[in-house]
Amino acid sequence: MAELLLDPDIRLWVVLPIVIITFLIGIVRHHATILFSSAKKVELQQVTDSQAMIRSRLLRENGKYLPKESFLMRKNFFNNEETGFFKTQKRAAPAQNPMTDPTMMTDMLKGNLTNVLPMIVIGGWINWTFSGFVTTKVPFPLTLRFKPMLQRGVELASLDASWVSSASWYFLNIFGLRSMYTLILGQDNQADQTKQMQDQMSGAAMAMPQDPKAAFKAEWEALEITDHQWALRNVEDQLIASSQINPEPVFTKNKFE
Amino acid sequence: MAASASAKTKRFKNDNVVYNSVAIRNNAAVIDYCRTSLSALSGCTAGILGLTGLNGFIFYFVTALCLSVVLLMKGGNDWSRYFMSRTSLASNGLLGGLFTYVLFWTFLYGMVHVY
Amino acid sequence: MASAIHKLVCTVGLVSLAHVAYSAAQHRTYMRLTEQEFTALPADVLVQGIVSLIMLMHSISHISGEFKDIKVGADLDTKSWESVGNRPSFYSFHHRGKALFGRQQVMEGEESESSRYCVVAPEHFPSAESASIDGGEEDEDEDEDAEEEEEEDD
Repeated sequence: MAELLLDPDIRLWVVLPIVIITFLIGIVRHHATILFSSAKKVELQQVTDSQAMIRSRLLRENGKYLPKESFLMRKNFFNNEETGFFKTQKRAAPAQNPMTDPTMMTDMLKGNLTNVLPMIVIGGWINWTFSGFVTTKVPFPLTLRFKPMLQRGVELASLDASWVSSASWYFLNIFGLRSMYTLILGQDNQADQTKQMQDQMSGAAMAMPQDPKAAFKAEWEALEITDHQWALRNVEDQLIASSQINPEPVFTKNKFE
Repeated sequence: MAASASAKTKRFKNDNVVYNSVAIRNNAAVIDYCRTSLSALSGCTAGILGLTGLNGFIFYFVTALCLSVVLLMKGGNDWSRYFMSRTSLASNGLLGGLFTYVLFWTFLYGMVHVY
Repeated sequence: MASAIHKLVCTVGLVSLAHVAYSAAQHRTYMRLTEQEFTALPADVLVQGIVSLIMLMHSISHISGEFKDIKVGADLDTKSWESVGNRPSFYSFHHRGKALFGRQQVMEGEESESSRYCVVAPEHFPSAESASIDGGEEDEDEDEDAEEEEEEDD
């Protein structure tokens, strides 16, 4: 296939502007999201519940390091039939519908406003301004199946599949610059939406279980069957056996020197 | 008392090692930084040098290999202090950088050689 | 200081890479104008490109930051027990120091002296320390939790 000769002005006025625009829009979006995002308001009740859950879990896992009476005291605080925390706290099972919660709605709207809307607007604008250019060529051969992907807006049946049209060049940039944002804006940036999904998955510490009542019940059961096995029964012997130092100078040392 | 504390830490190390997740994430971020910037830069170089087809992909893996060697040198002999395994140091994010590489390769190839 | 050198090397590498790009584009244009077939770039351009990439690789691996020790106790290794086991919640100023040194202050009747004598550094106070020996490091959090919870229990 004969080598196409492109006008150098296309390089200066199409390829370069698309790269720069895509890149800068990513950065602007990052800062705009930071600007618009409201700090998540956490309700006091939820924090109390989640902290109680965390404490109970810690007690179950590490209770073996406590003396028996301390362990029982804590267990009693949570599980006593009349006065236990898990018994007395009655939580209504909330029907959290995102559509009814106004704050949730605004958050979703803001998310759409900063993520989806610019995508459509800028994409449309680029399509309109830089339409119909064959911009560049990928330096490796591609099969014909890539043609609709890479040559959007340029319908030439005889054009080799490795040529890229301007609209497709824009989309290539959107996806390819994603890792550059992590490089420049830091690990948890707002320009990249896939990261946010992961955050939602892993942000477990502050997140409250959907139904506190059921969670309390489960935690109560788990704590009820936990027995106290004191791990530090022979701790003095272990400590002395493990350290090579002679006990004598430790106890006779003059502390005030 | 100081002696007893350090003795305790030593014993602690022997039976089970507890890892610091913040430090692990920091190290992974350092590796990621190197990988991403190097895949972008090697993409630039490949585009400038006008590599096409298979040569370009081979070039990517060669530079990635070089970077692995550089990172291993950076880790030094006491790599076990920083990483759980040596292979993760050498091969983390190898394929993730490929897309960045292709983008920069295409970009610079287009800028230099097409017009 | 070292990072400044690496940053300089990185900048030089980037500039050199840009120069390579420019000369490659020039070469390409020249080839096209003189209607010769393009086969490969001249050797000096190739070498300069490779060398600048290597420079960048080396400098970036240094710029990217230091590795951190992934062991939990790494930064505690160098510290002594006195600084690790320092727990402000367990400070007690109601001890024999008051009887030993407080008397003196009353006799001298100096206000300024009193504040100095009352505050005795915790490592000089044996009971707090001996109480925490068997507690060890692992359950330090529990100890503090325990305190808070006991208050609530009551």
